[in-house]
Amino acid sequence: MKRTAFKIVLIALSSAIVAVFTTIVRIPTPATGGYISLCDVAVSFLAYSFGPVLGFIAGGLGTAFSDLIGGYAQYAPISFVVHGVEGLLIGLIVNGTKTPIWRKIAAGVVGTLAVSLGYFSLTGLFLTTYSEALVEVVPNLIQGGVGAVLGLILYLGVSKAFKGLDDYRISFFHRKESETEKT
Amino acid sequence: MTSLLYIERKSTIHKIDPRAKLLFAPLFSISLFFVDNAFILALLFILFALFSLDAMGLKAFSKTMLLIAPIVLLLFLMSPLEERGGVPLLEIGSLVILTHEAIDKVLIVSLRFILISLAFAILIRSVKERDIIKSLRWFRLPYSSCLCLSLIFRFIPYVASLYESIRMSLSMRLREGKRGYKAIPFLIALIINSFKMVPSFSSSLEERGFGRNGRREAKMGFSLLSGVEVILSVTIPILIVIFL
Amino acid sequence: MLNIKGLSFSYQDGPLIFRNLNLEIGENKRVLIIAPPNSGKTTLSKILTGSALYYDKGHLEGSVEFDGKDLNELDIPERMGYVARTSQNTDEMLVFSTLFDDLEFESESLALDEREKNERKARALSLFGMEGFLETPFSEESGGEKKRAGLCEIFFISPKLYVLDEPFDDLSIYWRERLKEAILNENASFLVLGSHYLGVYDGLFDEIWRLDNGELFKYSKEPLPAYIEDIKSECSHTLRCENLFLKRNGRDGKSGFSLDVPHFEIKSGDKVVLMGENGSGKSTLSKVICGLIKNAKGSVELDGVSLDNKERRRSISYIMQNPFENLYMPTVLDELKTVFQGKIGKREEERIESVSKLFSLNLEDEVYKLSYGKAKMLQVAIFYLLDRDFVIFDEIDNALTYDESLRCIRLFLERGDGILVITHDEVFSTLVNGASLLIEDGRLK
Repeated sequence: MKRTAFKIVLIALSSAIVAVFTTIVRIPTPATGGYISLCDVAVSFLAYSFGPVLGFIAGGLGTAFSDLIGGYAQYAPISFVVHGVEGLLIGLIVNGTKTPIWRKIAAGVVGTLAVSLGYFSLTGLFLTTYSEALVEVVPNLIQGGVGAVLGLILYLGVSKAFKGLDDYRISFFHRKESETEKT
Repeated sequence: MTSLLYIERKSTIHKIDPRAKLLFAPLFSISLFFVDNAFILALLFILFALFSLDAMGLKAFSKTMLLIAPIVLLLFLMSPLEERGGVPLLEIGSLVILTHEAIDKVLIVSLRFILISLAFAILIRSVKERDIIKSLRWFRLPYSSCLCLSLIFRFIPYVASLYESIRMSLSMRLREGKRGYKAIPFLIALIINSFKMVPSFSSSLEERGFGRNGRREAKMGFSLLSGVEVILSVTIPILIVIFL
Repeated sequence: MLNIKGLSFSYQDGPLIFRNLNLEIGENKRVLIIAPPNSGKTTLSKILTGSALYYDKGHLEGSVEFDGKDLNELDIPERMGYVARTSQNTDEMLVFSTLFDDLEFESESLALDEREKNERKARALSLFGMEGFLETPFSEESGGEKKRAGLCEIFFISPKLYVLDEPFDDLSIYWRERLKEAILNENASFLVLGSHYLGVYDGLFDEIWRLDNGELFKYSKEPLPAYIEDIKSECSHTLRCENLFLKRNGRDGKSGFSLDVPHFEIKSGDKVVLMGENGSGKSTLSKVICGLIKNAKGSVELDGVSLDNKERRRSISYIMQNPFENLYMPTVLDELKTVFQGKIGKREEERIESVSKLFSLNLEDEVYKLSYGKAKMLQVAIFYLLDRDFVIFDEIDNALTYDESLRCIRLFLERGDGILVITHDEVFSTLVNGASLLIEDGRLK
């Protein structure tokens, strides 16, 4: 029996988590008195836990959905590409769970840069102008950086608390059904 | 939360085939880049503002406009600085601040942005999520992907409600810090509680028949037009716009 | 029709849940199995639909036959026409965003033509009064409405054997009667699983079994545990609530809800039982008292001192229904440690140790692996450690047996706390033996 239902549900739920982290979860920032969006936390967490494919799909779909729901539908395609690539890059660099910490951090840095660069270039190119998009570059960098760090902490915390994460990862990647015993 | 999307309304826009609207929004947005005339864009803006009012009503329309207002404002502030060469309109000493071309460019870019926003807003507000997904299916998106999209619509409010309950229960146990509860344990609990449901939802999907033999060619239920008509009705206006 | 012989089952590294279970259900028969929480009711229903084997990775021995054929040869989706179940946790069973979408999906799975689909739909919807709810997102529905939606879905499928896990729970008296009618009138077999015997079961079943220690025995009314005697408290705190008021607007033309409680008082050592239908306001009232709702009006005073929301949250313990939403640390020990918020000395360690013994908890257990009942015990243990003067138990009898629930309540009473117990089980409320309050439409009677 193929585990297609499991994979689909896992992808959908991960995307939902990204969407909720982006729009609903609010962590106040001490500096500006506003709120930071936690989308990068969720995307990096998923990329660390499940690798590039899920990171790309969930990162892209989740942020696209939250844009659609939030009234910024015009940004949805851009968010899809930007955060999808973010998840993809982080997942590719990390490449499995047994990588050393520095590599995970490096992945986070690359992801953050990708987000900032992505939004800047794509928004400037397609939606507005470069100078307007420039305004968002620094906030994106901060959010992305904090996001990657928190995502890493979350990944460590969740792996410790929830051994099921490994099971899900295995179930997600294995093509063959693991054996169930019956008489 | 997701009920922010579709607005139930008896408008002409609502009657248009969802596939057409789905195809129209991105194509129209692209076609706008072929238009270099601010005047035409302004006319289009008026046209689409009327469409939007029809499709979503005054309240939603103003909400949409308010959301993009800050961005447009920024556009007006930042962009003129890009275009310095040309006929000067405003000078301070020998420093050219504003030129005729700059105003022109700002208008073009802002109007484009507003039009793109309106096109997508009309799409989202006048098409039920179920029909969006059916349209995507008609455009040959694989079944599992469509299923995934439907599930996301289900899961987002679900995870949001988990967030609320966890927040509530944490508030009962912990002392509130200066900046709210400790983020990390909170988020860990949210993630774990969400992921725990994956096997349950998957097995329910299967118990409701996913994976049964001989499955799934969902009836489209798109009454009015056939596919070819849909595509034609979209491409023709687009081409008109391009050649303007 | 259904023939289970010698069934024994355990989850991957877990203990044996069933040992030598035998059950026969003939055509058009109705069977009830009474089993205390955590005894394996849900596992049994999942074995029948196949989820326990294929998803939760279990080890099964014995035979499960349906009309003479081995049921375990069939994969989950193929069993759809034979066996279908509803779960105690309604959210699990609702797959898409609205009832309309779910029924469409089922219709496609069963390859129904348009006419058949509409017939079944109309019938299922009218059985449970869900005609107006087709397009309502599940996230906006109440517990009872979701339960009825789940029932619509299974009656739409019309399997040969319905497996219903606590279906009457969460339903108002009116809908319990409607469900009973539906079960009696349907030409199919029913297996209903429940944790306590409910009045509505009378006259409904051909056979009643009891699940005990993994085997089935003929059911006989077991003796009830002793009720809780009045315990005099050495403390004398008073929690007084005045003019509690909250208004919620209705949605989609349905009327809104308002909570209106002019006076409510509870003292140390008091036992109060709050009962009411779903949607009557039991949880809302408790949440207002505990400071969990922002815009409520009225005052809550502890010993004459008025408390704002934040202070209420710190003075009153609210033990909510689902323990897992209240737990977030990796191990039991970690959870208990959080009570002390960082300062763990010898004394704190001793307290943790004694509490873990008191609630039969194993400190090294991983939280996410705990059974529902054990998680409930952990949740109760945490609030026991938090040691506040007033405690609200929200439907504790859903997760624990009568015995265990009463034991927990007694522990708090012996410390002198004032207790409010929310339940919709009448038997349980008489066992608690407290002042009885009924809430209806947001008003106390």
